Amino acid sequence: MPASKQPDKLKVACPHCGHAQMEPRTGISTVCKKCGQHFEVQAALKPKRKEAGPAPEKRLVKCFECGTEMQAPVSAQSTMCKRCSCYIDLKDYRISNAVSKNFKTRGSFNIELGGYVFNTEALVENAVIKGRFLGKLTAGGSLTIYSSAEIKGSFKTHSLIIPAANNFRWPETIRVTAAEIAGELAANLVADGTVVLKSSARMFGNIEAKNLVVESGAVVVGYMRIGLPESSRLLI
Amino acid sequence: MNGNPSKNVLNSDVEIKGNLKFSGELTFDGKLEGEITTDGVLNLGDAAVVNGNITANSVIVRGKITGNIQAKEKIEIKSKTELFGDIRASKLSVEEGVTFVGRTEVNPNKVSPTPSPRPGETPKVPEPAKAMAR
Repeated sequence: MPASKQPDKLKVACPHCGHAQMEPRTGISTVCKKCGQHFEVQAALKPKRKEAGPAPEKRLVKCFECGTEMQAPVSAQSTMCKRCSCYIDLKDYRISNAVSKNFKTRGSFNIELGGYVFNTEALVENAVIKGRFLGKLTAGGSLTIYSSAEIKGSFKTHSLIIPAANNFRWPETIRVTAAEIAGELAANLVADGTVVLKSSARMFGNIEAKNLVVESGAVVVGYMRIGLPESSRLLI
Repeated sequence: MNGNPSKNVLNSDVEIKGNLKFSGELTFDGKLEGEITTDGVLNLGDAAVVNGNITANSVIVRGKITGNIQAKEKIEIKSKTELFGDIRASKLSVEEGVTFVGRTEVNPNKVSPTPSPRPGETPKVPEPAKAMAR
């Protein structure tokens, strides 16, 4: 089959006015017959590729099943574990009415004032509780508890946060990795890491922790065991 | 007493068995078997070893302390301090890296925990910040 002969001339659009005119394929530059402006033929024939935009912002996600850590775009609603193919929900939940269902997400879980989550097992990343929660809550990241929160059941978290001007009372010992208390906490606290008592904090209870930071002005009443190796600790 | 509080220093080569009383400010970096009483400021050094109670206006704690500390104003526990004893003060600041075992009472206004709301009662909710409202 004979090779198809490429045309000697091609239609080239002027980058200034858009006027199309025939120009030799190998031409270097020319002048637009309409606007009279000079332009380069090769550049007009092969327009520059659009520069790739910035890479989407990513976040670290941990698989519920195998614990593998992977990157996922911040805007993603879900992903799949690259190792065990487990489905990972990344949606944020904001509860402002009565709901009875289980949650399993690496997104945030907010129970608004007036929200009621009952008979549930929630496995979430960051939780903010302003409403009522009845069940078992596990927050892999932080758990922020406001005065208006009413929790019945149990909770586990990496980092406990009591915001300023809020109080929380819990009858059992709270075990966390870290805690940041800016409001009032009336409970016994055991932390593997650092407990920070902000200047506005009011802590009523015993603290057992690896590290303690107390800002000047905090109210602290209780027994403390700070900085001792885990083996020598007597759990409160 | 004159207007300028006196500044005293006891270095790490000092070893005392007995009680220590002073006014003004003392930087203590030695060893003490006994009590320290002052209405001034006690500044303990990293090499300080104290076995006894401390009563002062304010104390900056470093070194190894076995005993109770009571301060009218403030107790500052610096990093790497080892403190075994109870503390009582109006203000307390603790740095990360401290070893501390003891009872703490830092409650200048004698506030007590907020009572839990009675069943059916809505707990007080702080006003949301205006900037947050949309």
